[in-house]
Amino acid sequence: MKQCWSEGELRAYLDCELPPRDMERVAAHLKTCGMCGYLCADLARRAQRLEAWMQALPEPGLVTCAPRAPHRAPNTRWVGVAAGIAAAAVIGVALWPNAKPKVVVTPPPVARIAPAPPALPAAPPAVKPAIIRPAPRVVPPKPKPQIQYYFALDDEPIETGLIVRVGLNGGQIPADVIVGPDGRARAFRLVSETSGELK
Amino acid sequence: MQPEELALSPVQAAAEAGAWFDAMFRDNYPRLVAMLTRLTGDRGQAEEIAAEAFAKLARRSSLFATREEPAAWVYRVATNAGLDALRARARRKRSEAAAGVEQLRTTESGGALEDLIRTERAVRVRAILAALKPREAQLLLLRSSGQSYREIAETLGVQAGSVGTLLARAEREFERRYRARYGDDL
Repeated sequence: MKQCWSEGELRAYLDCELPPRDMERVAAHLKTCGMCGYLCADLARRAQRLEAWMQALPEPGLVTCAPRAPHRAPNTRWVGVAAGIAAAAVIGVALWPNAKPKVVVTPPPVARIAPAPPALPAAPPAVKPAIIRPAPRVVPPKPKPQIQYYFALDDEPIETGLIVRVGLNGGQIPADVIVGPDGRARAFRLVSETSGELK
Repeated sequence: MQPEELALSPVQAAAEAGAWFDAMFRDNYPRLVAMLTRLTGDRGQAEEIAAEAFAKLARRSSLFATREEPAAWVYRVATNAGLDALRARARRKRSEAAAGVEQLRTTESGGALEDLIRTERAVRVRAILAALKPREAQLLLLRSSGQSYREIAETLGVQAGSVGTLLARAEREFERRYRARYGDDL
């Protein structure tokens, strides 16, 4: 038979946490053992004081299962950066010099089809979208250069010579003169603005 | 029952784990928040600590497969976090008191005398709990919250038969520290 009970067992006895059989044994032992009785009374007084101390911690109100959402500051860290990138993209698209013109695809007008016989339901006509290409650039036709022929001053063929630009009528009318190796003028022509040679 | 009836597809297993977690959350969250509120004195902080403990449990799926009781794990993690918060607050209050802030707060509260005494007693108890060893403070808190010796043993990872001894030791240490700091004034 067990003589005395340990402090832990006596503490469990005070909380009724011992098995029922041990509870009876401890109760019977406390009636006969002054040492265990004194120890158990000491434990009980301390437990009461602890209970009083712990009751100073107030009980909360009703606690539900839904936890409060943790308060977090809104994350505005990337909002400014994203707004700046978006604004830059919009401005870049608007100011892009080689931006292609927007091609609008519109379906052609559907030609009216004669009503089909009621027995055969008419299938919807397959409409092929028309591709509208941008109008070709209208380039004004270049004026065809007018050929200014030389007028020969004699009947001999000209094999070599030097073309000299001179001004007739006080320098106002330009003309080209072919000068032969002997220094004689062999042919000449007037240079007009339509020939393009004055540019 | 045939062995194939016991086998669950991954989808079924995940669904059962989710349902089990929801049930465990519903059963334990209110008790845990109540206990942490008593410990910290701050309902909002208690809810945050409890929610964080459950979130940690959800992330640690390996706990579901072990023999450890997940609810006990949550209680242990949450009470540890609550004690940490209590110690951090005690340090902050010491620094505030040094700066003279504590006196301003005391004069601002200005309620009934009984409220002041109760508040002061709660502050003292929390200070002693924060000064105890974590397991002793957890033990006192769990017992004060009405947990049985078996639940306490699961939470703290000790033998159920040793809870009485640990509890008596923790109570003696609490009283010794309380009397050493505040005298015989209960």
